[in-house]
Amino acid sequence: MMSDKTPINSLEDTVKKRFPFSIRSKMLIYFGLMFLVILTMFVLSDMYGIPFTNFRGSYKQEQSKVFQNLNLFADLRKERLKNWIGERRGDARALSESTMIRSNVASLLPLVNGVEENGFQTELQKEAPYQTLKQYLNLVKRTYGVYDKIQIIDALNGTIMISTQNQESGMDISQNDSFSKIIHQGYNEVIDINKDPSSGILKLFIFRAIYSYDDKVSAVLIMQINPDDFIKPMLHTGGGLGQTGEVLFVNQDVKLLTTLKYPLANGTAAIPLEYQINSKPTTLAARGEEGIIATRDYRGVEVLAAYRHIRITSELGWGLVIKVNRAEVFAPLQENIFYRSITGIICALLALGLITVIAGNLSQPLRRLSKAAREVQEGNLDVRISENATDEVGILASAFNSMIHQVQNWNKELKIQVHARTAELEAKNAELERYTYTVSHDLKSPLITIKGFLSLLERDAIKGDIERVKKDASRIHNAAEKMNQLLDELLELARIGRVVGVSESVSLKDLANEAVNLIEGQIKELGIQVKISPDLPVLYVDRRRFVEVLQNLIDNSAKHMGKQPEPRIEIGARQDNEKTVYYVRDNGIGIEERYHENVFGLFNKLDHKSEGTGIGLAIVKRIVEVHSGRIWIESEGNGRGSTFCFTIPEKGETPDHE
Amino acid sequence: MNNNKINGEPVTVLLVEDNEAHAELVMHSFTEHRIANKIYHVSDGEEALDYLYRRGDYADQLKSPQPHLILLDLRLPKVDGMEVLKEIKSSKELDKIPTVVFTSSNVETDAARAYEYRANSYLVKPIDHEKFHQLLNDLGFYWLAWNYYPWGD
Repeated sequence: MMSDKTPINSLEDTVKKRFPFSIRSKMLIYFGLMFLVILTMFVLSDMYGIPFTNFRGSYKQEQSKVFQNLNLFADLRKERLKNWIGERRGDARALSESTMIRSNVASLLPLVNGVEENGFQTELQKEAPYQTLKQYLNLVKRTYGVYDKIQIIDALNGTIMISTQNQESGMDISQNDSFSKIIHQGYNEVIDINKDPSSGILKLFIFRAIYSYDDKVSAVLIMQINPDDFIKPMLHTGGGLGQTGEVLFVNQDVKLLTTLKYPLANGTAAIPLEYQINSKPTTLAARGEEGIIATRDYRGVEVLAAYRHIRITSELGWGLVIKVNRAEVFAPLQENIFYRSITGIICALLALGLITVIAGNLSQPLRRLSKAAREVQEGNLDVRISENATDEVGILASAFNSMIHQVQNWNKELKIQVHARTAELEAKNAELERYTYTVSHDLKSPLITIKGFLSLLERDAIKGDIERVKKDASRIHNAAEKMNQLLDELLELARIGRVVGVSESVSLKDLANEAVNLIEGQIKELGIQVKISPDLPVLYVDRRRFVEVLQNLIDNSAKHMGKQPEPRIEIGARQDNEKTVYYVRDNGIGIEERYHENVFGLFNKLDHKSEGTGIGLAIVKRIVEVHSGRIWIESEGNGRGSTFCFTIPEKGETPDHE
Repeated sequence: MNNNKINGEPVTVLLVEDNEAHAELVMHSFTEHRIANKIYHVSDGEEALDYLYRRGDYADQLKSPQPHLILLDLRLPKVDGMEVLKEIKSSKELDKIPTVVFTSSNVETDAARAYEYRANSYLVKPIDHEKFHQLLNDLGFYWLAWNYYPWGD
């Protein structure tokens, strides 16, 4: 039953071509992708927030935290600077309005005007008010420690009258803008960060008018501070800005007021008061605005910045920008993300391993199932799968098993059926062979006889032997008669099975009576007693055919009575293993057991002298078998009579196969 | 035929034929050609075996001597001709007797099976009587006159 190997292999190949991935690898790919997507979504939402919700993500959170810090820092710096400047302005005001300064300046001024140009200083220094003022200014400078220089300038000609720096006395600063503003525009105070004309270093100047007792500007007080010594540390100290934190300090023209931490984009250092910072926060701060911003700084580096405007007077204001590199701010966050990604990848790998195991576990029964199915395909029907699993796979396995079991049963049944059919066909074949034989043998025989005796008849006629002629003629006649009978019965046999009548319920008694009537003459002639049992069952058969069956059986019995002095035939029925067995019994010559099967064969006669063609019992057997019944002989041998038995399935009963 | 004795015995033929008319025709031809001295006719397979094994009515060796030739029809009552052939050819005593199947069957399987059972010859009865007569004449001469056989004693 093994089918050819090649088509199975090629089938397997096509299966592999059409379904290149196993369930396991599919699950691996699907779950792996799923895990990757989930991980990515998780990290992304953690970093950048979830749309339409309040969760803004760690980047935004970190940024706002940094902005908050920057704001705090900027406000602190701004306040500190403002206070400090206020203190310095207070110093200048207190000094300029002090009686000590005013009275001494008032006493000194007339002396200055009387002194000639040359030798001015030497002359003046000898005066008592000069001495007093100079000592006082030096005292103030020493006491505060803030100021570089303190000077008093003559309002009339702009020369330095007194300075804590000896060599500068007598210098003319009448061209100084701040000085002019006080003298010509009526300001009593001017604050400016500018270059020191003598040293060229950037300084903070506070100009303050000193009024005479008649409320006229008699002199100008200048207090000079080095911003790098005080402002810069004030701006930068305090920490909390990290490595890249920087404070920018600009004037209203966005010109740099302190030095820069980093070189410019072109590599050179920026020069204070000359370099204009064009970055956005400094511009905004110089313009008087305050706020926070994420932008690029003077170097082009991405920064987060807070900008403040420090207003000193109605005309003077400075811009303050506190910035920190974006990269530094987010470095811990990026590190965080890096470690989280590493953890995620490790988790993903572990999960993949786990999925491999799970997928293997889940697909294992399926793989076993497909292996079993392939074995079945190759013809092994004894394959069974364990049904241990309690899930759908278990159901599938049990369904598969029962399916294969069913197939196996069908296969067995089919084999049995094929076997039965083969046997049946072989029997039919043998019968057909006998039929052919009959045509070639039994029909030819009478012809041979006829031709032979015609030849003899001719000779005998010539000889005039009347006795022999008569005998020859009789032989010819018998042969012709025999041939006729043979042809009739052959036709009859051929019709059974092909011409099946409609079955009906008839009593065996009626059938027997009908059959006996048909051959009454023969029975009477032989002096046979026929007994039909009184209560016979009803059969569901083709009535006409069964009359023929009984007629043939009675006829057969009648022909084989031998020398029985009291020939008797009995027709009846008996119960045998819950089956009704019908029988025709005689007390004739009987049949030896070895011939029991033979007698039903076509043209088989046990006694060559008996009449008939040997077709009668063949016809009987054929009719019974067409009705799905069975026929057999019971006889104890020679001289002890024979019983022809047969069974017929009842109406609706399935025929029994043996 | 002049010499109708084999080893000094009268030539004997056993004719196994269920058809009375055919048997009569065969015996007529044999008698006319003086082929055999004695023809014993039996009409079924059982009787043939009884004769050959000298059973029952055939116990007397003088009345039923062993034949020099068996003419065997195939379709026989009780024991089939093929069975008889098989029996003869598998018997130590009988297997040397030339056994000629003489039948009206020209079915190939019959002929094949007969030769398989070591039939000496397979002859189909001709329908035409001239030929039928001629065949028996030739058959008699061939097997009983020309054919040499180690009969022994």
